[in-house]
Amino acid sequence: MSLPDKKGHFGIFGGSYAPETLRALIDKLEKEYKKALKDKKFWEEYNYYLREYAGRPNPLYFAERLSEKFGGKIYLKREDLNHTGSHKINNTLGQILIAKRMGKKRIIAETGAGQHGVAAATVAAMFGMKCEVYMGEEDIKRQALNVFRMNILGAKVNSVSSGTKTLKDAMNEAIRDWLVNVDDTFYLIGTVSGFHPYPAMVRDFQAVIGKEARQQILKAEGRLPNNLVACVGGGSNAIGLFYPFLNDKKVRLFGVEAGGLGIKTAMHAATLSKGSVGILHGTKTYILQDKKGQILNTHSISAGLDYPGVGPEHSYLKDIKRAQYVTVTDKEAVEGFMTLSRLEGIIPALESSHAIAYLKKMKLKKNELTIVCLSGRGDKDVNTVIDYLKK
Amino acid sequence: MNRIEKLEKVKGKKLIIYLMAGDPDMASTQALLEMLCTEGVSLIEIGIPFSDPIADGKTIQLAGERALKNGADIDKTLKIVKAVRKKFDTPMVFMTYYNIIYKYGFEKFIANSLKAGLDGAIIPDRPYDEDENFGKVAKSAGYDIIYLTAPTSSVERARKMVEKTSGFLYYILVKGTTGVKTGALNDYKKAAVFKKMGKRQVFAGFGISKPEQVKEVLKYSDGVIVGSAFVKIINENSEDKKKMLSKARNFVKKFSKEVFEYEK
Repeated sequence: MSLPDKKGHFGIFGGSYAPETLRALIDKLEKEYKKALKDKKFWEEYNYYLREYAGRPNPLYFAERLSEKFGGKIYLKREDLNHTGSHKINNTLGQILIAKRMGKKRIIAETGAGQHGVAAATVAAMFGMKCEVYMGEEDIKRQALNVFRMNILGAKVNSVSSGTKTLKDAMNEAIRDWLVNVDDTFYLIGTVSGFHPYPAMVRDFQAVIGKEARQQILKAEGRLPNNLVACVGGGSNAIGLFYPFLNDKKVRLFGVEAGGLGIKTAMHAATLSKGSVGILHGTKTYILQDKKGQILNTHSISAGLDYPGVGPEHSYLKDIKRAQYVTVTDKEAVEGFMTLSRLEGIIPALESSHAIAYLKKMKLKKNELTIVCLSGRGDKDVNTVIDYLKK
Repeated sequence: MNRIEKLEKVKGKKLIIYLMAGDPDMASTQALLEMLCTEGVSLIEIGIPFSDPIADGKTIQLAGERALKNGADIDKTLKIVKAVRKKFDTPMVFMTYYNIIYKYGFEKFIANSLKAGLDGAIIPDRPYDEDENFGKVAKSAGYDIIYLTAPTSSVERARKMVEKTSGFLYYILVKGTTGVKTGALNDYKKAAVFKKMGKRQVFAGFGISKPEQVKEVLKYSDGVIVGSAFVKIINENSEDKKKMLSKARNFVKKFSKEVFEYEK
């Protein structure tokens, strides 16, 4: 059976725990998205922009020196080479086409690392729509480069100072904006979370990662990979890579979460590894919460993984044991960041560095074939890394 | 017949007041609840703080943050409800977010609520068609789950909610969060549409901060809900508990006059 079900459930997870004010609009969005799914013209247009604007397909690059170091054959899916520098553009292009079909003129988005904010601001500029991005005060500080980029692209960046001042609070504020401006605004969610149909819709737009990778690896190696590795915050690049391989039962799936200062401390963002089931931002999923159901503060060196929830489909894949979710600490992630830079001449985003860092722990055998999703490039993170290494 | 159903038999318009448990502290919450009962408020909504209140504006967000710091939670609030219930018959319901109840365990939540004398719950982020078992358990226990309708609700969904809600139907007057903007007249009028759908009383809230707004809202509904404006009064006077109580009482009196003396 293909998931989610009609109401957006992946097993017990997902659904649409939405305030009533938003419901009519969410239903309309679902209708429009379902219509688009079956509409050849929609996909033609989407694929046109992916190709001509975002620069797809991007390479599946055989990382020879990385392979020598960690074993087997390691391929990198180069989402960092997309226009705007991450996988986020796959989704924003898809959603803005839906927004256009719905006649919306104003886009709002939440962002953590700023990669989604930049990708949203980019497509809004191209389609001539107004764009406002909500971003936590903390994240604005540590991802200043992306804030400049959004401003240059014509988006208004709203600093969010409530709660923990990071991604979850930015999402709260975006939802509140949507409640007020429900008539004219499209909420462009950046990850596979939120109210149904967002987890399914974002997955469908990100699945291009896995579809390409599957074809490319078959062409290069004549066989499917043994392992797929991707970092998981909300989990959109991971689902995008995993989804087209879900039925290939022999392909092992690894989602790498932010271990922060270590998952035995309180300073991490390892939702699937350490969380419990709850409801956050309109979906039932694993979340990091205390025993009274209050959402916990998270920590990660990577702003894009610093989120106490996760896409409901990942919760489902964890529970049915189709995917494994593991963690990598800040320190290991920075090591991964440096390793890839020095061995391959590719500076990865700190988010993607988590996936790279996990390779060390996999003890890969000689004939093992592994694909890592290099979800974004690391220009935005150089200050953070320099500061970290100084400590 | 439970307390909210009894309220339906009472003639005239209704005044509903919201406050946040634990703001400024639990003892004040109890004193405020008793004051509200004494003042003859029709029904009281008690907020339980949640870390991520997506449907709330700044005023209630900040009240929630203060309350969380004070350790307000379901059990402590039920204790207060129980104490107030010994003296007063005013219907009381919780208004909070679903995760807190889900984590507490909804069967346990309903059982403990009923034991304490709490009449029901309003949960803005749990629609009737998610976790339907919760609705069923509540119904068979005689516990009221109150659903919220909005200006954007489709007729289809509103019908369902009129059918499923117990006690009363909550009508959200504005497109937006609590306590931020005043509703548009067109949106007010929709309350009357939902009222006609069933025999349920319709109480309307969000964006009511001044007694002058009451007349207009009551044209289309059976009662008004005042939240953020009341929370603000409490917060502005929280240094001096006596003053806080008397200011809060005066605030309520002004609204009572408008509501209980309302004539078409």
